[in-house]
Amino acid sequence: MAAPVISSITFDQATYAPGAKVTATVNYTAGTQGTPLVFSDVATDKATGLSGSLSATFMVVQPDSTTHAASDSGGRAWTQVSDSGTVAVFTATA
Amino acid sequence: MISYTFTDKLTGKASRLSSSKSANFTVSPAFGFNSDIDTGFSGVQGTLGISRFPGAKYFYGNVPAAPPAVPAGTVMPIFCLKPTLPIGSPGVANLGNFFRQMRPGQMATIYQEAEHDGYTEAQIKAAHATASTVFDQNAPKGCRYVQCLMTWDASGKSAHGPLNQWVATRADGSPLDMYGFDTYPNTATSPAGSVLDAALAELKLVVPSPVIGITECNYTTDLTGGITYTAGTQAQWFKDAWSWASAHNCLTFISYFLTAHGVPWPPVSATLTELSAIAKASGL
Repeated sequence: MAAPVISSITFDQATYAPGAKVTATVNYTAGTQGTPLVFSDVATDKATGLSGSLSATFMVVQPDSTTHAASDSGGRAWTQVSDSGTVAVFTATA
Repeated sequence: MISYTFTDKLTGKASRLSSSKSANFTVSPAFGFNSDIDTGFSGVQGTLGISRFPGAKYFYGNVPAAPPAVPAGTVMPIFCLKPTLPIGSPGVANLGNFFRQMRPGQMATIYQEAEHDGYTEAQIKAAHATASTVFDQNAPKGCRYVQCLMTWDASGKSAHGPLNQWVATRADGSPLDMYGFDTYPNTATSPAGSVLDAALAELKLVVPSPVIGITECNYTTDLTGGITYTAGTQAQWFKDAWSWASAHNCLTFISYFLTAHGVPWPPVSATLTELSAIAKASGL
């Protein structure tokens, strides 16, 4: 399993006038989740009917969808307007 | 410019593993003008070629029944009210009625530049204590109660100085939400930055960590004996004042133009060029 990673956050302007729309774009890589599966084999001797078994665990790794929690130090309300799985866009009022 | 930190916390739905990252963005002082400017706000917008400005200062000789309709995009206007002093029950009711109708982002004060209104410091500070209490009980969240002070009273020359004796607080001694400086030259050679430095130093004697703004600004006014900044141009005055406002995290940057007060709109082309540059730098 791996945690998601945010590679960059960018804004559509360098400076905003009060009341303007702030757009933040977050580029990220989703993390992974691992599903543990158990492989088991039982070997049976045909002549005696005796058997032995062994088990081993392997992992199936899959992409893990993500949730975002956007905030800022000014207490603005941020709205998520899109999320492609690698790019999420948020807006708020400056 | 006020810097804010944006943070996104990303969490895997299944794994519950998370990571976060932050980045900063800045919000400029609210650039704007006095409501009684010669050509009105629409004339200003046309001259500067901007569709809106977030700051404005409105003047009243009383407490109107309701806040005025402000232009679209003017999200941080300051309403300057004048209740009868001392503020009695009718004044409390009128202020409460006005404050209740304000919208988030809007600001209000009473007796802007009260240093020159003929009241004592104690009368003005008591009035602000009362008005801010009424404000806190009635105004929507996100509104600000402010005080507009004259930089002239930190010049050492004003008959009403020093400035610090006029600085008001809430009834419990806590700061008001913003202190605005009405910014004009102290001498012909005092740049805007030195004028504002002096005023801020006086303010900090009472409120050590104030939230501040520029609530009027120009390079001359007949209200201070006709002192005009001549060491530089009017454009330079605004450039210096904007630089100071940006560096000191001011919430507002409101210029003042009115022919009757010796600062006609529109000003000379060099000043218009500078104001346009300020508007652009402010994100407009």
